[in-house]
Amino acid sequence: MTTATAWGLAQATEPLPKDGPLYATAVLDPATQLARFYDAAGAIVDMGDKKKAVTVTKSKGGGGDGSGKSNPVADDSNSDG
Amino acid sequence: MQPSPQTVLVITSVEDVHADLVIEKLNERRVQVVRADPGDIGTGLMFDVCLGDDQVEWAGRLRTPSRDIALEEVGAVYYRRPTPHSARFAHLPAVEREFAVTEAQHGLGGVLRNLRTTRYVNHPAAINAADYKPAQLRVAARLGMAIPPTLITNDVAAARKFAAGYGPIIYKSFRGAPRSPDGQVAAIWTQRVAEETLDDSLAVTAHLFQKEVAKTADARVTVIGRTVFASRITTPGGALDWRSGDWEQLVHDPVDVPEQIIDCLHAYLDHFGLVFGCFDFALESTGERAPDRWTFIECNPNGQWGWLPDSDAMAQAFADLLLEGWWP
Repeated sequence: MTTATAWGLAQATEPLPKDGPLYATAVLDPATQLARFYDAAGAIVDMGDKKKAVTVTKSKGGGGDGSGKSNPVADDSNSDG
Repeated sequence: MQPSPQTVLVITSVEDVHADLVIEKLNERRVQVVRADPGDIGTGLMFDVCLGDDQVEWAGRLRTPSRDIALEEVGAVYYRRPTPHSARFAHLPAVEREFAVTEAQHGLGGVLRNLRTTRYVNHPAAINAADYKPAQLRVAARLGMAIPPTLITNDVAAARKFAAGYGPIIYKSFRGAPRSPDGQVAAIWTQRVAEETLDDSLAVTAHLFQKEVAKTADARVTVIGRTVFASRITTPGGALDWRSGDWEQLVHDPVDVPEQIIDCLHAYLDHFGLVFGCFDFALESTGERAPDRWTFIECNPNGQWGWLPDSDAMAQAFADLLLEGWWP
């Protein structure tokens, strides 16, 4: 059995720096079905400018049926040369 | 009598900011929206459906803490990014966890992907089929789009031969680096390969290599129904992978997509049964005043788009697509 780390995984970066949490809790607004985000002190967090922050490497993988097959990875499309 | 559709079912987690953008537009259209996360199955999500006698479509209720709807009255499904069942059941012992996950996938998941409505944006089965890069590249090539010469292998000899024939070459992972047990996330950016680093550790698993395209920019083309949004993306340093740098530094400019490419994108989506896709292209200059050469890189069938300049119009396009033909 091969025990070496796969060549591809060895190309990974060091763990990305952890951003401070964008919010402490997310709660669904019953009337609008929109999420409301709050910080640890209970203040509303405006996510309007934070769309980029939830786009890459931090969000859940796509596809499936909630099956968890997809890891939370750099989930938007690659761009390459 | 057939029930009239009146609800858009949004399947995603509560943290999904992209879904909010579309739900805001749906609310403006005054259609009923229910946001449900299959990962909440339990007291946070209850359902019961029946089939049989004269009933040929699954009919029954789906209940969340804030909604109680008839599934046969769902007019469209906006399928985004639900919480994995494995997370919901992480606290259970292994056998119990595996049972609960699998039963939920096949029972709840199976119902949600087999509703009376045919309007799924996108259908999860189509997302899964279109998620494989070998499928993406094959379909793009068969449709006549330019793709980079590509090798998928676990044989170092094949990789070296490919590098010798096509170098410089790049490596890209299929799915990225998994999160580590302590929650840390690393990235495997698309990167140029130094041939001397290729070794027998390639044998462990599959690897994808491509001839590097001498690009001058990237293009992101987001197709939502028949509507096409396109941005030319450049990075100050000309990064191979624009995700690797500071996103604030990315420059987005409008770009005209050649008609021939647009036709291919619609055919591509039709092939997979998709109605939405985020396409990436590498753009190569072919000379002053000459049109760029467009090389297909990939298509994310459940991609993110909220970061793009046209995100408000995109959200509207999603709402239009979801409601088309059944809601005023």
